[in-house]
Amino acid sequence: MHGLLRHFTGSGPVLTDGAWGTQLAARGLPPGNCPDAWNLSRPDAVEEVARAYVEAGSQIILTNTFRANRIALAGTELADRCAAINRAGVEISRRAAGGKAAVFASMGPSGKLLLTGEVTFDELRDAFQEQASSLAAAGAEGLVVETMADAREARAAIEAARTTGLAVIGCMVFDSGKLHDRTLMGDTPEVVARKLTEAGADAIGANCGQGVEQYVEVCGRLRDATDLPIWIKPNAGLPEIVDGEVRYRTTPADFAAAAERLVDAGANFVGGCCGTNPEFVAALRSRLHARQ
Amino acid sequence: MNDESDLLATIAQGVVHLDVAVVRTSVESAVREGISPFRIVAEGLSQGMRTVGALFRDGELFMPEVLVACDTYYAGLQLVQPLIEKDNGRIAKGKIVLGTIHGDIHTVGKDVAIPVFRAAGFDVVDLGTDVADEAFVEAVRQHQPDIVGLGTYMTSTFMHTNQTVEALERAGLRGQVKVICGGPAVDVRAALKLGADGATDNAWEGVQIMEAWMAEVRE
Repeated sequence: MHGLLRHFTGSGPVLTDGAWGTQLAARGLPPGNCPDAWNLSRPDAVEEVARAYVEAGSQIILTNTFRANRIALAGTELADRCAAINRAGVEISRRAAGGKAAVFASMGPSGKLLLTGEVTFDELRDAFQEQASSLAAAGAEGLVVETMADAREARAAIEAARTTGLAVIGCMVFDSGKLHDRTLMGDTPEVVARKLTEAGADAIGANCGQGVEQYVEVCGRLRDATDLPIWIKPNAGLPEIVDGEVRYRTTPADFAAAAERLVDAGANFVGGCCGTNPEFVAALRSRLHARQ
Repeated sequence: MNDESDLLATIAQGVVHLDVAVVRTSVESAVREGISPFRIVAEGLSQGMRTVGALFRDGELFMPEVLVACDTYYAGLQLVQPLIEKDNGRIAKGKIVLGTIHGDIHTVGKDVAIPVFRAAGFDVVDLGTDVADEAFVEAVRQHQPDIVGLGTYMTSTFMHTNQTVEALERAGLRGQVKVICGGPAVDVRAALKLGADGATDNAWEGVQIMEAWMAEVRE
């Protein structure tokens, strides 16, 4: 196991952070605008989100760099600013962490499909390599390849991330199939565990796509399929649109109660994805604290 | 079941079973039998895609199979497309300018919906993904469509709908087009509130909505 992850997991479940995109939207990021751009234009707002997670008890916070690879940003005015966005993202989170939390940097998907040939594996790996290098140079302590729908794309990102020597977490979305236990491409938790382990991930897991209840089984199956640490960040349920606004119905208390079952199922790192906020992290912290 | 409907059902099944060879030979047979190219597309190829869409929604199929089904569909479509283009009597049901909304870079939903719209008889201008509001405005000026289609995969980008609609309004173009939202994240009531005229997560339902709009126009 990677030394940093061994250090973290040695004393029970580790609390990560919650959503960033929905938190930035709550601070005025217009729908459809790239959240990562705010690392340069509204660093104050991004730091506010990061700081709120640290104050809520996150032991690891991520960075606002989910989309900052050159394939995802191609054709936008941000295309030639990937390095600056990634650097600023790590610096913002490090300032907010102030030594009280570790900073693991987020690497999301390219938005392109390998299957249709609109991007090649080498193109993906090069773009992720560039992002991973920027994040590492800025002082990230780990890299989180997250919200991946295709294990081959996850492999490209994990391989690129590994070259930095940092701890690398690989996470897929499980929201497809009759039982919502498969990736968009049809991979089961067992297949994902094998593929991401082969790719060289130091920890594997699941994030986004589903609520916490639905990820308990996925978590258990990942646990049975690997000896690596498990990282899980579910949504606050599924988004609903009420009166023209996006709402997530799961409350922080409900989320925290259900998240305990994730820990029972073998999760080593727990946090939240879309719709969660610092209140969810605080509720989770209380629950996890009460267990110890 | 008569020979024609057997043949059309074989084409549809060929798409569902991802069998390019069956689709090609049965489409060629259908053409030889004199079945109209529009029936081959609507009742054969597109019916197959409709089943594929339902199986995907129910979790029976996954994205790789859907993409192969699209290829299978296009393999059949290639054989009848020249016949459709030769058909001088054809009048398009309407013209759609369509793209994935600003901020959303997903291509698959749009790429699956477009053949369905074309098969249903609509002319489709594909603007691509992450389409800026100004690009929709420019495309409406240039192509003079009846309908603007805003695709989105994500709830967050769906909420951008009102800004695209407002851009059309500012340009004085809103009155000449209907706006439809499509994709798994859309919600009909929210779409109407955001200024669209309709919304659906189902391409076939989208065809029905748009056909009804075009019927209104003709009246």
